[in-house]
Amino acid sequence: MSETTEMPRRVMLVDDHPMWLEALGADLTEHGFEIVATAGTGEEALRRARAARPEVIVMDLQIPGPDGATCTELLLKEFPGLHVLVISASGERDDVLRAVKAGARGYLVKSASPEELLDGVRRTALGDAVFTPGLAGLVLGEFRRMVTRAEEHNDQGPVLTTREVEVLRLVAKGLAYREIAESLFVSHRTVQNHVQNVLRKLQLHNRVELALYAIERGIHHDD
Amino acid sequence: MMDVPEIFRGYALVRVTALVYVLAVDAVRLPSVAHPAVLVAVMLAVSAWTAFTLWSYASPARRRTWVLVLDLVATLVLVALSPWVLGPGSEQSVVPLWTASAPMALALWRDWSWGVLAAVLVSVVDLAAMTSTEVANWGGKLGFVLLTGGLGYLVAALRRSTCERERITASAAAMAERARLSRLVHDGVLQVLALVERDAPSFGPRGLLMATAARQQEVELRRLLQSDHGEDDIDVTVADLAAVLDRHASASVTISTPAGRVLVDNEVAAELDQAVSEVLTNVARHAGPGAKAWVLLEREGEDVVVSVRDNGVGGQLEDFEDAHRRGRFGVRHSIRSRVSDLGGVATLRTAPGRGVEWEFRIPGGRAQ
Repeated sequence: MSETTEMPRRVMLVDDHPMWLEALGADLTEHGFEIVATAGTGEEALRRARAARPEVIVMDLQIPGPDGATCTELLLKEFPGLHVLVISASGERDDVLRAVKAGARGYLVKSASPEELLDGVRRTALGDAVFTPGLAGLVLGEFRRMVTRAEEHNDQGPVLTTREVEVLRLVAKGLAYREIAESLFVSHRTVQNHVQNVLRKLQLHNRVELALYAIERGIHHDD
Repeated sequence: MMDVPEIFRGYALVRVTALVYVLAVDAVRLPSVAHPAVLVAVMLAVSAWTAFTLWSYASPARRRTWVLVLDLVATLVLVALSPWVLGPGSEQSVVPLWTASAPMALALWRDWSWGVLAAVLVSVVDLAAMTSTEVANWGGKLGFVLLTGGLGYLVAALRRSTCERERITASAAAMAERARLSRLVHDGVLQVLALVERDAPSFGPRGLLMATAARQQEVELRRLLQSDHGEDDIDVTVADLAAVLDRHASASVTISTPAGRVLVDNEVAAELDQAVSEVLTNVARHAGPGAKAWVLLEREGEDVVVSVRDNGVGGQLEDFEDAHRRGRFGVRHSIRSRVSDLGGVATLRTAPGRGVEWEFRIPGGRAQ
């Protein structure tokens, strides 16, 4: 891959399971990544990320406080350029959604194969979105919720194009990007861009919603 | 006995107000009484005694029986001495109204019946000491007795319900903590299973078996954990379709749903559940070895849409359309009729080598 020379390689792993850390760490090192830090709790993750300045974080959602979703929120606020890949064993939907809305680039389940995980980390490092069918279903549902909420406020909600909805539904139904590209007669890159745009809109609208919420609650200063 | 601080606060307010009233009344009639010096001493003593009793009653540990009894005895003595202190013709005792404090304390912190007994005692001594034969006074005394009893009774009921509420809150907190601990334990198990699934295949064929077994156990455990949620549902006419469909998750079936719950009529949930499980049975039987399936649940406005797609061998659409004649896809008919019974539409798409995809769309109204 020609782009690999450009690819960020400094990775931090956050997980409270030493065995898991070791296994994933070994896999990633073998494929040219550098593990600059590991953390077993949210507190360690926050402290060590500030010290080691990783470019990519692989974040387990179920860690001792603060939880993975909260850490993702805090770290991305502090380091907006960070690429976060969220991993979870128990697939807790609300937490996954929260982390992704805060700016995580993607989500994988822990039982994904080593190849899938490696590929996920690689794509995250390159700034691509990593979507499982489960995450696509969550994001679709979330957009519909946000549109309904915006309509209640006589407001223009976040709008997905017909194409974006189409792509997202195909991802949710388990089609690979290659298959989606074939069935829609577009390039693989175009599919990737659609998914990326959806994620960007979700994150953007999340910030708008947070601001609206703050205004509704009468909090006017921005901190 | 459980302590409800509000009861003491209310009591203290009544007792202090009564004291102020006593001091005012006695101050006004001080020049005209038989023994003014004694009345002044009574006013001081009553103030001090009130302060002491309130200090005692403020905390459950200091609410000793001897204080309560002494409080009542003091009241009786003051009432009995009243005619002598005030002189002939006085209508009220030296401590009007304040006489209610001791019986009230007994009703609140011992039992309503003790309160009633004390109130009767105070009233009788009052009437006897005043040597009043005025029958009109009796009504007031009776009212006082009844009020004391009623108050004690109400407070006992309040205390019982507060006690019950605290017990429920405590057990809810204990249950939440238990749920949190079991989540931690289960998460640990899930992590180990995931690790086995991940690394075991590199140990050869036996490792592959281990990985498959771990995967099955992971799915089972996750299903168990998910079915744990939502059991606190009170409304039994609706069901969370997301949770219902989640039960179909397995090593070869992925379920995607929105976050949160998707509430629909029970009947809708049950029929869609059946339709999905029939489709998945077909996938397992006819889609070919290693075929996977994906179930997507969406809510589009009022509509509920469920799609089931597999990546199996697929086939000619016409073959599927008249499959029920050959009996091979006998369930196809029941899939369609289940969905149309709900007022919905079932759409089937397939092509050779391209898997099969069903879409069930149930219009709003039936969905909540």
